[in-house]
Amino acid sequence: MRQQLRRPALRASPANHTALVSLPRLDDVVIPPPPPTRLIPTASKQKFLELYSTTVGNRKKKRKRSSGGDDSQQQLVAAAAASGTDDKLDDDEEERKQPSDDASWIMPTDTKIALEMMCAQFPKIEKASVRPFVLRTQLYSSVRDRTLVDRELEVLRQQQVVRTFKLSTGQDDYAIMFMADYLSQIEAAKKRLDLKESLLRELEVFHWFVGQVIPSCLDVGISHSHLLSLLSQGGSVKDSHVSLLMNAGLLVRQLVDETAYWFSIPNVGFLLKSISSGRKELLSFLSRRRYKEMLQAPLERHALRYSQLGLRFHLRDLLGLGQLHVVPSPSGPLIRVVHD
Amino acid sequence: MLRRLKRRELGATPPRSVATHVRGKRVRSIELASHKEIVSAHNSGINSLQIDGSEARYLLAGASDGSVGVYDTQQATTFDSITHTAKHEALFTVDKSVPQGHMYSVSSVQWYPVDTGLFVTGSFDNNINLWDTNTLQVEQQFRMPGKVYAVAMSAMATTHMLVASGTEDVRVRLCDLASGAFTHTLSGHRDGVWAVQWSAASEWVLISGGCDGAIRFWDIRQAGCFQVLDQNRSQLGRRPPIVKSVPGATASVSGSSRGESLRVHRQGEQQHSRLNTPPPIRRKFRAKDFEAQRQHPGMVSTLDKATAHYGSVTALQTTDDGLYLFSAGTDSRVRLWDMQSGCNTLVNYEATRIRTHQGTQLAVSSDSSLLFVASAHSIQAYDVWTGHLHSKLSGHYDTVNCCAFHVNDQELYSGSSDRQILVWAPPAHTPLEDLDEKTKEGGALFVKDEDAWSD
Repeated sequence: MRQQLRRPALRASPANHTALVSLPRLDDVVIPPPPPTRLIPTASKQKFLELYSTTVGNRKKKRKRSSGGDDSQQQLVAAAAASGTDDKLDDDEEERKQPSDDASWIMPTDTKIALEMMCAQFPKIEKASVRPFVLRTQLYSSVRDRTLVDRELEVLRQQQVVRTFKLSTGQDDYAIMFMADYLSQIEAAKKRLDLKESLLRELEVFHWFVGQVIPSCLDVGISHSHLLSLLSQGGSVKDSHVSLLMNAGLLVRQLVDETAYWFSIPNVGFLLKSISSGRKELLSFLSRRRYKEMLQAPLERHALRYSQLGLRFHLRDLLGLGQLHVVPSPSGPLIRVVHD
Repeated sequence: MLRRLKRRELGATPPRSVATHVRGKRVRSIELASHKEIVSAHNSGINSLQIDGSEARYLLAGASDGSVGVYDTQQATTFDSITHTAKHEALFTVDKSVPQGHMYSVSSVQWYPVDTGLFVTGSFDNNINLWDTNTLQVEQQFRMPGKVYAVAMSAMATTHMLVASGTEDVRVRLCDLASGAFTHTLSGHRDGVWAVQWSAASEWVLISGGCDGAIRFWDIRQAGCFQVLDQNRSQLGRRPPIVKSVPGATASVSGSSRGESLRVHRQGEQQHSRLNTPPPIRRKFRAKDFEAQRQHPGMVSTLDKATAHYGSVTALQTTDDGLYLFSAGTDSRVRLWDMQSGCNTLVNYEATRIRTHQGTQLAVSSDSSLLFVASAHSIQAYDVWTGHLHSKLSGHYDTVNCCAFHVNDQELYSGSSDRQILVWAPPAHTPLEDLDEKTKEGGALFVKDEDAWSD
C-alpha cells in the first residue's frame, strides 16, 4: 500500500501551524476603507473615469433610473456603475453597488436641487441640440443666500459633478452644466465634425481631452502650455489637434490673453445670441409699460420674439442680475423693474 | 443701555464689550445726518476723501478741477439754529492758482501718516505733490510717466516714508519723501495700476491692483511680488482651505485604500516622467519656458497670469486687523480675500454697480462688520461675512465716487460727482437745553415745524 505523501501546505493556516510560514499574499490582506469623513473629498481621476466612462452609451438607461425619487449623488454613482458594467458583471461591482446606496447617502444641497429642477425645465429647442444648462444668475434667484450658492457650487465643481463655463455675453455670465450632459455634448460635437479620411486619426484628441484635461483642470480657462502638457499625457500632440478642438467648439480663444483659452459648450453660439437679445427684450417690454411692472402670471404667458429660450428662463436670469425684483401683492407676485 | 452700564459698573461685563456693543449698534444705524453738514468748496466732482489717521479729525478731499480742500469734522464753523445743523466749511483749499498746483483732476489724496503737517496728492497731470499744510505750498513734486491713479503711504511705517503710486504705466513706483528720489520700481502688472494699498499688518508689504485684473503682493525688501491672488483658489469661509485645486499633478490625491493610493502614486510618477521627455510641440513655446528660468528672479512673477477679477480691479481695502482684503472689480464683484492663505472666501456681495472707468474707494467699519460700497447713486452697506445687503444709503444726485469711514465717531463721509460731500451718521440725540421747547408724548419727541423757508 502506498502511503499518500502529504504535501506541505504552502500557506500557514491554523491546521498546520508547524508548516513553513510563507509571506501572506497581498490579496489576503484586507484594509478596511476609512470611515467617510466630513471633509469634501477630492475626486480622483480614476473615480472620474470610472463614473463617466460609459456615460454616452447608456444615457437612456441612466436617465430612467435616476429620474424617479431624489437624485442623490450616491444613486447617480450607483446607476452609472451599474449601467457601465451591463455587459460584464463583475463581483466587485455588485458588491460596491449594494453598500453605497444606504450607508453613505448624502443629503443633496439646495444648489444641487435647484440645478436639477432648472435643467428639467430647460426649454426644448429644435434648431440647436444643446443639453440643458443653467445660468449662474438663475441660481441666485432660486436659492435665497448667494454666498451659500457660491460655496456649494464650488464644492460641486471640486467633486466634478458640474462644470462651469464662462459665457461671452457679459462680464460675469457663467453657465453650469452637469458633467454627464457635458460629456454627451462633446460626443455629439465629435460626430458632427465630418472630416476627411486622413484626418480621422486626429479624433483621438477628444479621447485625450476627456481623459486628461477635464478631470485635471477644473477652472473655466486654461493656458496653452498647460493644455499641451495635459494632452501630451495621452499621446503625441500637434497643433492641428488643438485647432480641431477649437473647430468642434470645445475651446475658445481668450480676447484678453492670446495664449489662453476658455472652455466652452460646443454648439452654444446660437443660444448666446438668444440669451442677450431675450434679456434686452424682456427688460424693454417691462420698461415700456406705464408703471414698469407686471403681474407674474400674465407675464409668463407672453411669448418673446427674439429668443428661443422661453420667458421664464430670462425672468430668472434678470431677477438674479438684480435688474428686476419680485414684489408680493394681493393678486400674486408682481415683477417690477429696479430703478436707482 | 442703562442696565448694561450698571453691569459694567458692578464688574459683571468687561468694559470693552460694552464699548464694542455700542459702537456696533451705532454703525448699523447709520443714516443721512441731520445734525451735521459739510459745505463743499469744490466746483466739480469729488474724487477722493481721506480722514487723517493720527487724530481722526481732518477730512481731506480731492476734486476733479484740481482743487484740494481740508475740513474739520469735529468743530463746526457755523451753526444753523433753525434747522439745528452744524455746518463745516473748508478750512482752506488749494488749486491751480498755487505755484506747482495741480492743473488737472486730483485722483487721490492722503495725509502724511505721522501728523497732519503734510499731505500727498496725485493727479492726472502726471504729478505727485507733497504739500505743507501750514504754508499751503508744494514742498516736493514727483513727475510720473503717466496719469496718477492712486497714492498710498503706510500708516505703520517707522523706518521708511515711501509713497506708492499707481499710474497708467505698468510699473508701481515708490517715491521717497526724505530724499526726493524714486527708490523702487515694481514690475509685474500687465496694464495700468488703479489701486494701491499698504498692508495693515506689515510696513513692508504693498498690495496693488491693476487693469489686468491681477492683485499682487509686494515685499519691498526683495525683488518681485511674492503672491498673486487667484480667484479660482478658494476656501469656504474663514478657516484654512479644505480643498485646493491642484493643476496637473494628481499625486496628492487622497486614496480610499492603500492599494488604490499606490496605483495613483505610480501614475503620478509616470506623469512626471512623461513630462520630462519633451513632447513634440512648437519650438516657440518651449523656448519661452526655458527663458523663464534665465530671467531675473524678480521678473519670474510676471509669468503668473492669475487674475483676481475678470475686469479691472477698481478698489482695494484692507481691514484694520490686517487679516482680510476687499477688492472691487469692473465685473461688478466685490471679493473678500483671506490675506494669509491668499484664498478667495467666496462671500458674494449682492448686486453692486461699481463705476467702471476709474478707481473708487471702499470703506469698512473699524470692527469689520459692515462694508460700504459706492455703487451708482447710492452707497450700499453689506454685512461682511454673509454678503447680505444691510442698508442702502441714498442721498446723492450723481455717481458716488469715494467714501471714508470715521473711526472714532462711526460716521461715513461720501463724495460724489454732484460736488457734494455728505455725512452719514447714527441718529443724534437732541441737546438738553432745547427740551423745554418740545413736548414729550409717550417717549416720542415732537419738534415744532420751523424750517427755513416757511414763515
